Amino acid sequence: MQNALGLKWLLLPANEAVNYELFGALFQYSNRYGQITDYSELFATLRDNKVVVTVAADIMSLLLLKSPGAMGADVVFGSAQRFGVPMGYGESHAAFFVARDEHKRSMPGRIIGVSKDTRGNKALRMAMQTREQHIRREKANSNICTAQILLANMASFYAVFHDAQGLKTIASRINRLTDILAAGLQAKGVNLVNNTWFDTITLKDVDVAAINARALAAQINLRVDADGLVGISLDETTIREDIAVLFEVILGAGHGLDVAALDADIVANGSQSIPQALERQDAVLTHPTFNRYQSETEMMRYIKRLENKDLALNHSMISLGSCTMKLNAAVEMLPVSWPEFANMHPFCPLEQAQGYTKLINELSEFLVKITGYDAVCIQPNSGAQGEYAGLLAIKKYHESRGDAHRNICLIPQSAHGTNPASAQLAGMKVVVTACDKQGNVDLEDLRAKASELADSLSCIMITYPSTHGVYEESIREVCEIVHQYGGQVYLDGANMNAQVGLTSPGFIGADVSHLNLHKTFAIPHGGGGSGMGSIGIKKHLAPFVAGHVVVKPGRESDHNGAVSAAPYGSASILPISWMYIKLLGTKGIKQSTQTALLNANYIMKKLSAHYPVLFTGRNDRVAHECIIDLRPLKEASGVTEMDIAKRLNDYGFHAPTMSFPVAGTLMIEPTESESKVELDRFIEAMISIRGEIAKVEAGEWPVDNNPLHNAPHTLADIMDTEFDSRPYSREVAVFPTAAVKANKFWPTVNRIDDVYGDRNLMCSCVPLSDYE
Amino acid sequence: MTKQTLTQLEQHELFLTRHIGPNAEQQQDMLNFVGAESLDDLTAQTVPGKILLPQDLTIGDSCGEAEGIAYIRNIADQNKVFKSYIGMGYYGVQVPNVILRNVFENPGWYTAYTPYQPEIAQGRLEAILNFQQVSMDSNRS
Ligand SMILES: Cc1ncc(COP(=O)(O)O)c(C=O)c1O
Repeated sequence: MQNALGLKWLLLPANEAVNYELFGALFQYSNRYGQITDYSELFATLRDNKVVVTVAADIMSLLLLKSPGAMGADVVFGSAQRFGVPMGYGESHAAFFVARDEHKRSMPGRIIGVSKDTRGNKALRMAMQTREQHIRREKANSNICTAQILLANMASFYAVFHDAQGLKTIASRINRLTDILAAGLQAKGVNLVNNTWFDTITLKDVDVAAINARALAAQINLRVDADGLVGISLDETTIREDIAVLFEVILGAGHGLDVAALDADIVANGSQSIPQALERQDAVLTHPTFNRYQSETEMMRYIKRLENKDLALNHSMISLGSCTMKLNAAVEMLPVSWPEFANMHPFCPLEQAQGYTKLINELSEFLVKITGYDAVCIQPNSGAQGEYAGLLAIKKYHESRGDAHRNICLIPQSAHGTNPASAQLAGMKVVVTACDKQGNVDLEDLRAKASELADSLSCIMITYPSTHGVYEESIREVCEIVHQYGGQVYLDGANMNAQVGLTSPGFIGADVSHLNLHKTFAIPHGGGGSGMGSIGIKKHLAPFVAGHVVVKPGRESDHNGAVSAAPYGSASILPISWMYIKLLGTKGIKQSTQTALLNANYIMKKLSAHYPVLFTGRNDRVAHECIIDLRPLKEASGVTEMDIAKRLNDYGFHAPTMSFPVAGTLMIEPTESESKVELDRFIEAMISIRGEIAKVEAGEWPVDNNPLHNAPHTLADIMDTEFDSRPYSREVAVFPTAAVKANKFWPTVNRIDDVYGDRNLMCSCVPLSDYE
Repeated sequence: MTKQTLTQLEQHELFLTRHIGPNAEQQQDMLNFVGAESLDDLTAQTVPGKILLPQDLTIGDSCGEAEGIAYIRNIADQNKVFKSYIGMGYYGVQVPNVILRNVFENPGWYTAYTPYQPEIAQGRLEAILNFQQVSMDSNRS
């Protein structure tokens, strides 16, 4: 079989891998039956043959098992869900992905690296940004933008809180309970598929229907998706009483087994479930961070200490253009924690998930109306994954019509970097189309390229309102031109906050769009995810969207491949968007859009007296965001867009989006949720900064020693006696306005040196002494 | 005594005014400043007429927070939480309550953006670095 990138794959028993000429091989550890196998020799042979060895592993099991790295794997990945993140009927969960040193520069996605700031202190930042989509575009290592940061942080805190010993105890308890379960069942003549395990056993030759009926009666779900087999996986929540119930379910009443007696037996005689060769020998989590926060007081304060270093919406407006950092209301967030949403397994029988089904159906109906499309595929976990899912649907649609050769994706210059990266992943070829001076798609260029490439045209990816923050007048024509030459229109819905209730992609004439539910529909950004990138589609594409192999609620597209592991992606955060739409209603969602326009135009008009505004549409209006052009100022004063962004930190603001979609600019998106008071505070800061730039321009402050160049300022700066030699006061540095003085946010490090960090790539925890 | 009707006193659109930042008075000020009479007028000046929807969507009435919670409570109750032994990559967990309350349910953590501005994001960058350490430690050679 073959995937969208043209990679061929074979499904084989592990030991047969050596018989083929391969570029890579993927192993599961434990396998689907729960068996754990020492692959050391096999991996060595494969690696000798230059095969890249990849392992999918279970993070909890690794506390007890020999690590895949020690067996010789090149790459290991898996889910970190079971480190303290609820199942949530899907995958609002972080994955881990690690590789041997030699692969680190080709790894996809976000990597945090250690660098230093201008005071020479250790400071952290995302490393190797130059290989990411916003720079490398279709040559990027991945299309991932929004990821699963909040959940990665939860998993990391889980490890910090429990420490290595605590985690080992949890893993050992899970393994012991599994041993007890297995020993009891085997004593009663039940046969197992596997003779080694961490937490999973698979029973064979059993009456699946009878066992499952008893299980369901006891409100228990077992794995029953294969003939004659019953799979049982234990976890951190399993207690001894549960094992007694499982004995009853599997063996019926009167089995006479006693958990305590079985345990005593295992303690006395030892267990073979983890063969000695597979026992982990090396110590894990030896860094002191994992060994000092075991009291709850210490843990609470560690979390708070880190929180204090970060600017979030609970401090001030985050006016990141293209990101829609609107209110995530407490009432919308509440249901996410409820056990009825949090503790559902994504593959549980559908009868048990009637609430989720209803929620998803109602949300889909809302979104169908809002997008003007015919159907919605909820599954994708982010905007970029939605792009991928949408492009695959387009590809399959063309294939279904005998047009498999259509593989050109037109993308305007101004597109977000995820667009070309997704097109590349979907196996398409990107052709860039030009924008005119006003920032609009150059229709002549588009027409020329579409007609020239008509035979191989697959689609266009276009954002509306454009990434330049204006409602392009010609959007209908763009759709018509592409359709005329047999292409499909993918309308990137990142800017839906300027469309909801006023217009819609379906109405405009597009065929498929993702929605960033974590922008327009109030799911919080989580510091970088979870998000949801559900896609809306026209009828003709509906049969071609992502389906799922396990959960098939009877749709035409069920047999299609999935783009995410769970059928409804990060399902547990869907209540947020449902609540948002339900509470606001028809009137509220429209008024939100209109107020987003008002806020953006208000900021634009206020700032236009001080900074040039790059693009405007009809009547000199902008859509829900505006771009101010800093290039002339840079030319005149030497002050860079980076200086201004960092100086905003001194004023207690997150910078707007910098240098996207045009280098040397800031893109400001206030959203409807910011009050006039906050907008005015931001405007005051921007005007005050303009005054500071004027002083540099006038030569009053040197280009390389002024509050902009030295921003952000830290407490360490103003405590430093050397500060006295600066041409500006401490007051100017950290309390530039009264509003700042009244509510100061202190950046904890000075400006960070990216180049140093990338050259000396270090991605592990730094010695504690560096923090002290 | 107030002349408002009971329906008005029930404040069905209260959440709407909580979600939207500027209040009516502020909106009017801002409209005056940008040169528009109303939100609809601003919309007409801004959005190309040919793509404006001919009529409003039909999503339903706005509702209050208590009402919204009651609706979704009813939906949640239709989920049946069974004990899961399915495995397949998804497992029951005990979220440490200190993390549930101080991270998962804390806007200081959940409303931040991707740490593109590292000088004001050292907290979550450290947390993610810890995550990388956990990942490397558990898998290393
Ligand atoms: C225009 C545009 N398209 C696509 C994306 C990607 O969305 P996500 O981060 O959800 O993957 C973004 C995100 O910022 C965007 O601004």
